[in-house]
This record gives sequence, structure tokens and C-alpha cells, in this order.
Amino acid sequence: MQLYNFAYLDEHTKRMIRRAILKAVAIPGHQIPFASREMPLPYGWGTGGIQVTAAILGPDDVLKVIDQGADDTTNAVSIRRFFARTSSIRTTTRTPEASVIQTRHRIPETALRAGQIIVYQVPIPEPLYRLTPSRADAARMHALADYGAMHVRLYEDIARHGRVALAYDYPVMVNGRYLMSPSPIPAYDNPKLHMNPALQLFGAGREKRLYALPPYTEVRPLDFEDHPFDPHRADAACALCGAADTYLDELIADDTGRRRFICSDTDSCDSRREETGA
Amino acid sequence: MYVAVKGGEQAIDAAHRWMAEERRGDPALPEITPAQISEQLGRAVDRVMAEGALYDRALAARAIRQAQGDLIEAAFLLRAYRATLPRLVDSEPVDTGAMRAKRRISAVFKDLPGGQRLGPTMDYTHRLLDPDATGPAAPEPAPPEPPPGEPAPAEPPPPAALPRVMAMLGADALIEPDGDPAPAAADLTTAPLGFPAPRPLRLQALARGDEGFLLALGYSTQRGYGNNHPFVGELRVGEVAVSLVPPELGFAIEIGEITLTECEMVNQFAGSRNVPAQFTRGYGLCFGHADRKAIAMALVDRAMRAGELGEDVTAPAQQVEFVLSHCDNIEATGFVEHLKLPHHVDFQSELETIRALRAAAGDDDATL
Amino acid sequence: MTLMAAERVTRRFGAVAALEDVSLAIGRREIVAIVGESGSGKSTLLNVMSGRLAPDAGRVMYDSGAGLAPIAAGGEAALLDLQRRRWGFVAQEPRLALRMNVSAGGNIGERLMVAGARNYGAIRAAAARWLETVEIDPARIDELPRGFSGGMLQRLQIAATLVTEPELVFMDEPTGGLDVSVQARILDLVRGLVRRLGVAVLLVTHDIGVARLLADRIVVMRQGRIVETGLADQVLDDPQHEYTQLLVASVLPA
Repeated sequence: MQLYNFAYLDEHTKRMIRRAILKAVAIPGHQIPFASREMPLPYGWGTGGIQVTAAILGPDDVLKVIDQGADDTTNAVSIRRFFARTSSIRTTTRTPEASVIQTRHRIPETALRAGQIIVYQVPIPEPLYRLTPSRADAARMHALADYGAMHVRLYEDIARHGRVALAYDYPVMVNGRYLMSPSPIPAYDNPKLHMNPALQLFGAGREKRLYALPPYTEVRPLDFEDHPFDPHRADAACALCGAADTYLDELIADDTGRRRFICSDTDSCDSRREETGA
Repeated sequence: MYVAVKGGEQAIDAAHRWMAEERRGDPALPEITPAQISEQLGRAVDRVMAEGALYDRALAARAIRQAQGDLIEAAFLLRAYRATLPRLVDSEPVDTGAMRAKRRISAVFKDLPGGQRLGPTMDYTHRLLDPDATGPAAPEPAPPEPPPGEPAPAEPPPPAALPRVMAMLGADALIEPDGDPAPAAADLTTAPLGFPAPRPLRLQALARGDEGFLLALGYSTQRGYGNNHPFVGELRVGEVAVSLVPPELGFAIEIGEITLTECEMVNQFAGSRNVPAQFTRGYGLCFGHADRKAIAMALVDRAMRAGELGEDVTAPAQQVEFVLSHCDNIEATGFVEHLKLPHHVDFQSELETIRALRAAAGDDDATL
Repeated sequence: MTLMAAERVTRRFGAVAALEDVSLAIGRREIVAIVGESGSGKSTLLNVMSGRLAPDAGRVMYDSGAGLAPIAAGGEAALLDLQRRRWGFVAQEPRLALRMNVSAGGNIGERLMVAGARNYGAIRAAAARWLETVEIDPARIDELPRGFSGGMLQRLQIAATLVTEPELVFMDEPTGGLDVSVQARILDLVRGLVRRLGVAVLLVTHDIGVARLLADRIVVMRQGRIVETGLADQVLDDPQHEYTQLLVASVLPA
């Protein structure tokens, strides 16, 4: 692998990305354009997250990669293998052991601590794309903090369905200023964004944007006083570890359509089973 | 004028000779065979069969060689050939439920009866060009990483018939029922496309539509131009049997197998206070192994259902007439490329008109 | 007391001067109608004064409480704030102004939410109240406006504009394209509402009858200039400029 630099990207590209990250940290929730590169994985597989991770990894880092909460999903395996090949750093599945966690669609159940960095893979960084497909219009709305129409959308959901019908990628206000996409994490995970001690970085490779939540940033989901944010999870306990307070995957157990529920976060599930001897 | 015609004939003959020479390339190298194309450029063959609307690997491979690798040109060759074939009988509808699937994945469930089967896929390869250009195109060079914790389980043999994810959702009425088992729709290959086009006809057009066009339209829906919140409920690739009922026999006989890719898309609900929320469907089916085409087709199929589902029709992908009228790359390439044919008669009349307009406006037309 | 003033504004479209050195002041709670034929510059003046179009020369002033100040001085954000919180705009074509894929209640609630309202129940109650005010059955609060008649759509637009009780409302031919009987009902409604709320109105109309019914003051425009201005009765009963005389004469016999 001597054809490629440590963690694949050349140092100039890494520096360009780190500069964009610094800007992003300085303006929490604001999308920073960056000169995203073609990566050896397809757009949509996590090229933004991979570039951010590559730009911040050092030889002493310990990397954890999850997809859908799990370390053993195909894409997580592929990305972890990519970094193991190109950087020879240590990888782990244990959330507390990781210094950098790259994730797609989940935030680990185990609370993150100060000093850790979580990197989110983001398909559509623009939360306003549901209102207008034009990124030029959206940029103007951000500049003017012109977000009223987003609440109209929530109003319509409540009027029509009795509740907000957004289940994932539930938009949040950052520091009371910028509307931000939390990436397609389930709404259930949104509260973990708020006042998190870890540095949270968001990379969107295809859309060439990255953004950040510095540690201890205020992050509030959009809602109404009398219809407060109320995310759903399956009303069940994990069939493996028994947890009743984690986000669950629904598995179809047999041809009769019988369902089973297990933790989406495999590391948290394993840890709990070790603790309880289950 | 006699001279001009003669010149044209010579020019054409010379061009064709030169073209044949270029197509053959360096005669010191062995000529590529259709069998090699069929075996080693299988995805190109799949695409040409789909857009050429003719399932024949050998012919598609020949067309690719003849077209010097220009896949639209190759599909065109197949279409032109198929147009000459007598239509003896229609096959029975293929049963993709009975597909012998080498690949079957669902993005909506982590595990499901029959299991997730990656099959032969590039999905999780790292796109690192093989540095040794003379060597064979290498597969993933890295050894597989054992999944954390336990050794990799051996893949179980595929069950005879895989249950459908959509049926599992349908059992709980979480998804809209499938369309009517179609009263035979008009056949796009024997009747001209007309509007309004019912869904079976739309699907026919998409199935042989240009992969790049469908890809761009499908992509646009994901970026807000007609968003339909898609999830791949199930993608399966494999062989299905083709049967037909010969009139003289009166019962179905199997005449062979073809490889198909099928994508069933689950899209966000179109519910209201009065109508319970449920998922809606998008469908993609095409010849060969073609994830991209099938997924894009399913996105565009769903987008084109906006009207019937009471959604606003605002985006290009939702406009049935726009999509169907422009998805055929044989038609499109012909009309776009015909611009290089002589147009000097029309142009001359434009020239005269512009001169007249400028003269009327009092401008100096000396520069024209 | 002057609420808004255009000071010597000029606006050209290519070689055509749609507005030529026009000045106009509007007082608090005053209803001013700009009349003139199409092409007279009246809609351009409305668009310039409402900040939708920048003048080539001259400026537009507004008193947000601290004296008259140029509306363009605070940049786009400040102008948007004026447009969203202090002003309203009723367009001739409600289909373009309303969100046709959003319920009647959502359309009315939008300006409240833009202004920071975050109580669903209160927003909904206000929307229902305003539907009633503009004589639309509040039971239709969750309906999309697609099924509404032209007159209902215009009344919905008026409710969606007045719900935040703006200081100033711009109206561009608000009854244009509607049946005469529908027009009368809407004009009646507008007259009652703006008086009750104490809203200033700058109204553009080609219909002298509309101006007569609503306006305190009438401004007559022709070829990009104001040719006559005065109290409504005065202009209509004793027009001074010959063009005004023609305008008034052509309409009054009808």
C-alpha cells in the first residue's frame, strides 16, 4: 500500500479538510463547503465521513466504525478495513476505547466522553431540501435564519396525522441559530446530540459540505410547546440483552412474519450481556 | 450535382473502411471474441440486452464488438435486429418470486427469512486501481477481515423460493397492495406510446430506458426534486424460468432461463387523518445483473405515481410524459446526433431571415 | 405622521422609464390608492416601495418607530424583517402567494410561526378565528386551498396577511380577475378589517371604483409619473388633470 499516504489522503488534502473542520467548529451547525475528493468507495457509502476521519486520524488513534449501530454490518466492515489497510492504526468495537468513531445512522448508546470525536456520514446535509430543492435558495434562508416554513411543515404533520411524521434525520436548531440535519439517525438519537461532551463532525462527500457540533453545544429538535419532540422506538426489550431503553432492530424471524427485536448497537448489547452474564 | 453524389459515395466507403480498421485496432493483437465479451464484460452485455430490449447474450456480445464498445450503438443494433423478428407468441409472465437468487438483499431489515445474500457484488470493494496494468483485473486484494468476535459463518445454500419482503410488510397492511395483476397492457414494441400511460406501460418503457437517464432522474428525486423517501425493500438478482404456451399444445412449457434484477422500493407513507399511514411501492425490473438500473427505475416509477397518490407534480421525474418521451436512448441519440447531418437548406433560410430582421431594425448587417 | 415615503425614485427597464422621479408619502393608518392604466408605472411603484424591486435612483423610507430610515439600509435581513413582521402583501393572484400544498390553517399560521409563534394550539386557534373573520367556514381549516374558489382564495390570502396585524399592507389589484359580486364582498371585508386594525394600505388598482370604495387618498399615475394626488373625494369629484378627468369619466357612467 506504499502507493498511498497514511490514511489514504495526501497531506495537502487533509490540511484543506482540517481547515474546513476548524471553520465548521467555529460556526456550529453551519455547512462549510469543502473540495471533496473522489474516494475509492462510492458516494453514498460514506465518502464524507471517510474524508473527515482520514483528515483527523493520527497514528495513536483508535478507530471504531459502525453502520446502523453495528460494527459487523457490511459497510462498517468495509470502511474499518479500509482504514486498517491504509493507516495501520488500531481499530476497536468498544465505544469507550475508541478515540474516533465513524458512524452511519446511529449514535452509540454508551455515552461519549470528552476527548472523543464522532464522525457522521451525511447523505443530504441540507435540512431545507424538503422545502426547496435549490441549494441557492436554502443558503439564503440560512443566512437570514428564515426557518418559519420548516415549522409550517411540522404544523401540517400535526394537523394531518396528529403528530410530527419525521422519524429520522429530524432537523435540529443549533445554538438557536442554524437549522441542521443530524444525518439520518433515528429521531430517538437526537437528544444525544445536545450538550454532548464529544466533538461531533459531519461529512457529506457527494454534496461537498461538512459541519460540526463542538462539545457541549445546545442542539434542540424543532417542535411546538404543546407538541414537544417525542421520538418513537419499538415497544419491546432486546431479545439478547434484555435492554428496554435502547434503539432496536426489528428482525423477521420466520416465514410466518414473526418479529424479534434486538439492540441496533451491537457493542452496547455485547457489553450488557457480559455484565449480566446473559 | 453528379460529382457531389459521387463524392458522397466515395466518402462513405472510405469512412466505413477506416471505421472497420479502427474497430479492429492493432492487427498484431488477437481479435476479441463475442464469447470473451459475453464472459468477461458481462455487465456491458446486460446493459445492451436491457436497452436493446432483447435477451440474447451472444447477439449482444456481437453487437458490442461491432459497435466498438459503444453500448448505445450496440443496443441500437439489437433493436434494429429484433424489429425484424416475427412475434410468434407471448411468454407467460415470469415469476420473480420463484427466482433462483444469487443475490438478495434488503435494506430495511437487518435479517429476514432466507437471509441477506450479497452474491457477486462490487458494493464493498475499495476502488483502488490495480497498479499492475498488465495483470488481470484483480478482485479485492485484501484478505477478508473476520467479523469482530466470531468467525465468518459459511453462507447457507439458497432456499428454493425466497419469501418476498414486500409480502412480509403486506401481511400487516403496512404497505399498499400491489397493482392489479395487469390486464395485458399494450405492448410498447408493437404499439406506439400514448398518453396517459398506465403503469404497466410506463414500466415497459423504463425497463428498456437509458440507464444514465433513469439514474439522473432517480438521483434528482433524492435531492429534493420530487422526494419520495425511498428504502430498498428488496433487491434480487438471479435466474427465472421463461414459459410459454404453444397454441398446438395448450399448456405451458419452459423454454429457458433468463437473468433478471428486480428492485422493490418501499417509500414513505401517503397517509392523512382519514387514510391510515402506509408505505407505497416503486418497482424496477430489468434484464441481466443491473442493480443501478433496477434501483433507479424503482425510484422513477414511484416518482411518476405522484399524481395518482395525490402528491404535487412539480419535479421532472414526476412528469410521466417528460420521462417516457425521453427515456429511450435509441430515439434520443438519433435525434441529438442528427444535428450533424446537413442542414444547410434550413440554415440558409434562417440566414436570410436574420438579415431581413436586421435590415428592418436599421442595423448594419455588413458583418453577416 | 409619515409612515413610509418614496423619495424621488426612478426605475428603468431597458430604455423605458417605468418610474421617473416619483415621490409619495403614506401616513399611519392611511389608505392610499394608486390608479392608472397598465404601463403607467403603478405596479412598479408598489414593488419599489415594498422592497421587492430596488430603484435605480432615489430611496424608500420607513418609520419602524425611530423615525424614517431607508428600507435598504439594514441589508436583506432587515428588509425581510420589515416584510415579514411590519408589512403584508396581498397579490392579485392568490395561487402564487399561498402555499397550495399547505392547509388553509398552515397558510394562515405561517406568518405567526415566522414571527416566532411555537404553540400549535394557539396558532391553530388564531387560524380558525381568522378563517371566520374572512368568512370561510373554520371547519375547512385542514383543507388544502386547491378546492377553494377564487374569492375564497383571495380571502384566505387576506387572512394569511393580516393575521400578524401588520402596520402596512401592500395590495396589488386585490380584486382583479374576480366576478363583480365577489369583488364587492372582498372590498367590503378589506375596508372593515383595515379600519378595525388600523392598518395603512398602499393599493394599486386600475379600477377607479375600487379606489373610491377604499381609499382616503388617490394618486394618479401616467407614464411613470404622478400626475395628480389628493383626497379621494376631491380627486374623483373634481379631477384637475385632464388624464384624471378621462379616467374618472370613463368609469363613472358604468
